[in-house]
Amino acid sequence: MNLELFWNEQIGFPILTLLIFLPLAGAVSLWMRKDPRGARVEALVLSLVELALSLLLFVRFESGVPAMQFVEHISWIAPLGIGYHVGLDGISLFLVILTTLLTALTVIYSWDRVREPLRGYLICLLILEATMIGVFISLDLVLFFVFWEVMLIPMYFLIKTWGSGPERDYAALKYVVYNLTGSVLMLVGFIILYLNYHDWAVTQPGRNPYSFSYLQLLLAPVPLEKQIWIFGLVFLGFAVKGPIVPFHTWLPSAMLQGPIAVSVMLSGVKLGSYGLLRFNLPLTPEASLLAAPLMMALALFGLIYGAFIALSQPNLMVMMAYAGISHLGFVTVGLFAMNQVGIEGALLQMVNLGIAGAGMIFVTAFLMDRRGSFDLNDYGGLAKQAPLLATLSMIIVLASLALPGTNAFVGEFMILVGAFKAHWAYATIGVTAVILAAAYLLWMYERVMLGKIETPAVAAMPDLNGREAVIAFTMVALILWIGLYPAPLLSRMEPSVRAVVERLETATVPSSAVVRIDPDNPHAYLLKMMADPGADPGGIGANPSERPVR
Amino acid sequence: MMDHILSIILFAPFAGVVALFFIPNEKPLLVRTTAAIAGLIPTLASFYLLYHYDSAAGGYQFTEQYVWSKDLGISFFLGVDGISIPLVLASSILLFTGVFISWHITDRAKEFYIFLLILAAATIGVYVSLDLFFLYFFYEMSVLPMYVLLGVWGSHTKGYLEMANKEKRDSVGFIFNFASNSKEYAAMKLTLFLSAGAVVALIAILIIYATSGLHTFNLVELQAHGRVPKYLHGILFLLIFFGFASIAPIWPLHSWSPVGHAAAPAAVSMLHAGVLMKLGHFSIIRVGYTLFPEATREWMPLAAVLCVFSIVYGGLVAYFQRDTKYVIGYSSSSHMGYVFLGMAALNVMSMTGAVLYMFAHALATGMLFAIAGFVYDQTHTRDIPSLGGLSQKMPFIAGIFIVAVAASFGLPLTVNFIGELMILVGSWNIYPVQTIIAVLGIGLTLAYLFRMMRGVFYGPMDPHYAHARDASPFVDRFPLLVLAATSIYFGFFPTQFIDVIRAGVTPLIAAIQGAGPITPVGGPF
Repeated sequence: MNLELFWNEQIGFPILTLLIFLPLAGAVSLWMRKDPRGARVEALVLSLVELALSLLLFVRFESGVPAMQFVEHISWIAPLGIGYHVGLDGISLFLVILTTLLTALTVIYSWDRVREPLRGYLICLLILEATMIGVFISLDLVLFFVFWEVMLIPMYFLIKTWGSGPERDYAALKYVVYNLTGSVLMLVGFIILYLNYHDWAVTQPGRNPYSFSYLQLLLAPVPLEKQIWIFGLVFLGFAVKGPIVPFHTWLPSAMLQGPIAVSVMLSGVKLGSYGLLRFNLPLTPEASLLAAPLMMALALFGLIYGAFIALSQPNLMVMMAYAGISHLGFVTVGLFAMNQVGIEGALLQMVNLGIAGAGMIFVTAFLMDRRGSFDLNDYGGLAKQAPLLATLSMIIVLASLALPGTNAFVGEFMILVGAFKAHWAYATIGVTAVILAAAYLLWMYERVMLGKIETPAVAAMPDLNGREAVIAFTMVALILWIGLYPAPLLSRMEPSVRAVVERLETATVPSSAVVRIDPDNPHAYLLKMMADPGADPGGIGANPSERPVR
Repeated sequence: MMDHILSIILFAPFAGVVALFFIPNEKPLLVRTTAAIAGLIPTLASFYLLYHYDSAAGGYQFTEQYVWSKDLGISFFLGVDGISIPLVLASSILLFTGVFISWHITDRAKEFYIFLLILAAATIGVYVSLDLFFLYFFYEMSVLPMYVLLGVWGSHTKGYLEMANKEKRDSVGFIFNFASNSKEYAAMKLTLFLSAGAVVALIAILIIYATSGLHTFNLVELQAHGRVPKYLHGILFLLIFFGFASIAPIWPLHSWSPVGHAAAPAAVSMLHAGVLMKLGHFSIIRVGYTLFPEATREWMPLAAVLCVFSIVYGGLVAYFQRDTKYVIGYSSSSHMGYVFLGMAALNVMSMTGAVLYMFAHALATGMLFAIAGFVYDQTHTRDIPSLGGLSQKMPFIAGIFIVAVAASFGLPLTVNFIGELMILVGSWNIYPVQTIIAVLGIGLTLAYLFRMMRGVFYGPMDPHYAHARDASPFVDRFPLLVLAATSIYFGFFPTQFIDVIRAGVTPLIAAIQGAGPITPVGGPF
C-alpha cells in the first residue's frame, strides 16, 4: 500500500498535474475570449485532450502492483504537514477516465442545447471536471477537501443558472446546504484522524509530527473509540454525496431542476462510494467491521426503497434519480461485504453504472429535447418514429438492469457473490432488486418506446442527429466491451482492492471493544447479537482479543 | 473444426445477429435468408452431435473450455451429454423453422429476427453450459428478449378492445395499470415471474459456490469434489427446483405461461413452449440431480404430487378455453406434468422417456402453435366458436393439424408415443395412482384437441373468412413439413436417440439410487 511510483519513472511529464490544471487554464482562457462559437470548440478540444490524457494513464498504468502511480509530491504548508500530493491507483484510475469521458460527452451534447451565456456554462463544466479529477487523485486530505468543496461552486451555478426546472434556485441551495453540512462533518473526522496521527508520530523518532498525507495516515494505529467517531463523521460526508438513503433527498431535486450536465455527472460519477472505499474502509478497518451490518441494512433498504420509488414514478428524470439511488445501494452492499470479490465488484459496478446511468440520462435528455416533457404519459410509440434512438436506448436499458452480456451483469454478479460470502441474507435481499429493476426499467421502456403513437408531437419527432449518435454509440460500445471482456479492468483494479482487503483482514479488535466478534463470520455474529442482545457473546473465540477479525 | 462444434452451434445465431445489424430493413429477403442460415447451421451441427455422440463412452463430450476469470473460478465450459443433445437439437430445429414461420412479418422484421436469434442462442447456451455462471448467464439472457418480442410483435387477447377504455384499463392488472389481457401485461408478467424464479435459483448457485470449498462454478468439478455441507442439500435442491420449475412451468407457478403464449407471435410461442419451458426441467436435472442425488431422491416425490395438478388442471382448463392459443398454452403446461412424472420416478426407463418426451413435445407443440399462428394471420381471430369449416379453405394446414394432434396425444409411430409410453411404463411401479391419472390425462388431451380441431377446421364456415387461403407458397409449408417429418422419422427410428439419452441418464440414476450401475431396462425396445 505504501508503494509509490513517481511520475518520472513512468512517463515524461507530470501528467496528473496536467489533468487538473489543463481544464482550469482552459476555463481562464474561455473567460477571456469573446466569441461563443470558438468557446465551444475550445471546450471540446480541451475535454478531448483530457480524455486522451486519461487514456494514456490507462495505457501506461502498471497493473499487478498495488502502488500509487504517477505520484507527484511537493511540500506546501510544511509545518502543518500539508502537501501537494497526487497519485492514482487501480481504485481511482477508471473513475478518472469515466470523469473525462463524461465531460467530453457532455460538451458534445451541450453544443446547441444550452441557453446563454454558453461561455459561463462551459467554464463551470471545465472547473467541475478539474475538481472531480482532483478528488480522485488527491493523496493529501486537505487537498482532497479543497477539491471536494470547490466542486460545489460550479455545481451550484450550473443548477442555478442553467437549470431546466422552475425551482432551480431552491434545488441549487438544497444541494449546497446538504453537501456542505456533510463535508464539514467529514472535515471534523479528518481532523481527529490528523491529531491521532500526531499523537502517534511524536513517539516515533525521525518522523514528521504532522501529516495530512493519506499514505502516512495509513501507518498510524487508531484506537477503536476514535475509529468509530472518525468512521461515523466521514461516512456522513460520503453518505450525503453518495447519496445513501436517508440522506438522498437533494438528488432528485437537483437532477430534476438542474441542467443535463449536472444530472450526467451526478448519476455517472460515484464520488460518495469512492470516498467510502478510499477512506472509510482502509483508514478505520475495525470500525468498518463493526459498522458493516448497519451499513448493509442502510444499503439494502436504499436498494429496495429506491427501486420501489422508481417503479411508481411518472417522471422520467425523477425515476432515473431513484434508479441511481437504488444502484448506489448495490455498490454499498458490495463495499461492506468486505471481501475481495465484493469490493472489486463494487468498484467495477461504480464504473458500469456510471456508464449505464449516464447513458440513461442522455437518453432522457434526448427525449426531453424532442418533447419538452419528462412525463412518461406524453410518450409512447417512439420506436416507430426514431428506430435508432429506440435501439440504442434499449441496449442502455438492458445494461441498467444487468442483462448478461452487458457490463453491469459482471459487476452485479461479483457483488452478489461477495455479499453472499458475508452473509447469505444480504445476497438474498439484494437479488430482489434485480427483479424490481427489470420491472421499472422495462415498464418505462414500454411506455416510452412501444405501443401506438398517440400524440402528434411524438409523430413529428426526429431520430438521433450526428452528435447524439456519437454519444449513444460510445455508451453502447463501452457497455458491450466491458460486458464481454472485463479482464483489462479487473486486472488493474485487483491489486489495489487486495491491499484494502488485506487491511481489513489483518484488523484486530482490541480487548476493550464493546462487542466481541466471531473471527470467521462477523456479519452472522453481529446479526445474531442484534436479534438477541442477551445472547452470550462468549464461546465464539476463547480470547477474542488475540484473534484476527476476518 | 469438429472440436469446436458446440461453439459453432452456440455462436452461429449470434453471428447472425451481428450480420443482421448491418443489413437494412429495406432488403427483407436478405434479412430472412440471413436468419435462416443462422438457424440452419446449428440444426445441421446438432444432427451431427446426435449421430456422433459416443453413447458407449457416455459422459460429457465435445467439451471446450476457456478460462474467463481466474479470480472467480469462472470458465467458459461447454459440453453435452445424452440429456442435452435432444434439447439442443430441438432448439435448433425450432429456430430454423421459426424463421420460416415468421416469413411474413413486415413490421421491423430485422429487429424481430435479431431478438429471435438471441432467444434461441441463449436457450442453446443453457443446454451446453457446464459452468454454473454461464448457465445462469444464458438463462437470464433467454428471459429478457421475451419481453421485447411479446411487447412489440405480440397480439392482445380477445376482449382487449372492450376493455380498452382508460377507466377500466387502469382498474385491472397486476401492480401495473395494464389491461390484464393486453400483450404488455403478458410480457411484464412473464418477465417478473421468470426473473423471480431465476433469482431463487441464483441464490442456490451462490450458496453452492460459497460452501463447496472449491472456489469454482465448474459443474464437473463441483460434482466430483464439491463439499457442500449435507444439511444444506435439501434446501438447495428445493431452491433449485422451485427456481427453475417456474419456467417449466409446474403448477401452481404456471400462470404466466398461457398468458405469455397467447400474446406471443407464432415463432416465439414455438420456441417458448418448445424449448424455453424445458430449460426448467433441464436445469433441475443438470444442477439438482447432478449435485444433490440424495436430496433428489428425497424431494422428487413432491414433484410427483404437483405434476398431477399440472396434468389435470391444465387439461381441464384447456378444454374450456375459447382461444386457440390458450388451449395450446394450457395443453403445454399439462404435458410438462408428464415430464415431471417421468423425472420423479427416478429410474432409467422413466427418465429416458421424460427426456425423449421433451424433444417430442417440442416438435408437436411447435406445429400446433405454428398452425394457430397461421390461422390467426388469415382470420385475425383466435376465438374458436367464431371459427369453423376452415378445412375447405386450407386443406394442407388441416392435414398437418391432424398430424400435430396425433403427435400431441402420442399416437404410435410419432416420437411422442415412445416418450409417453416409457414415462408411463417407468413410473407404474413407483407411482401407480399418478400413472393412472396420467393415462386419463391422455384422454383429456384427445378431448380438447379434437374439440379445437372440430371448432376451427370443420363444421359450418363463417362466410366472413372466405378470403382465407391455404399455406400455398413453399416457405409456408416447409417448416411444418420439417417438424412433422422429424416427429415421424424419430417415431420410426428412435434407437440412436434412446441410446444417447440413456447414456446420459444412467449415471445420474445410478448415483441417485446409490446402488452402483443399474442394468438398462430392456422393455419393448
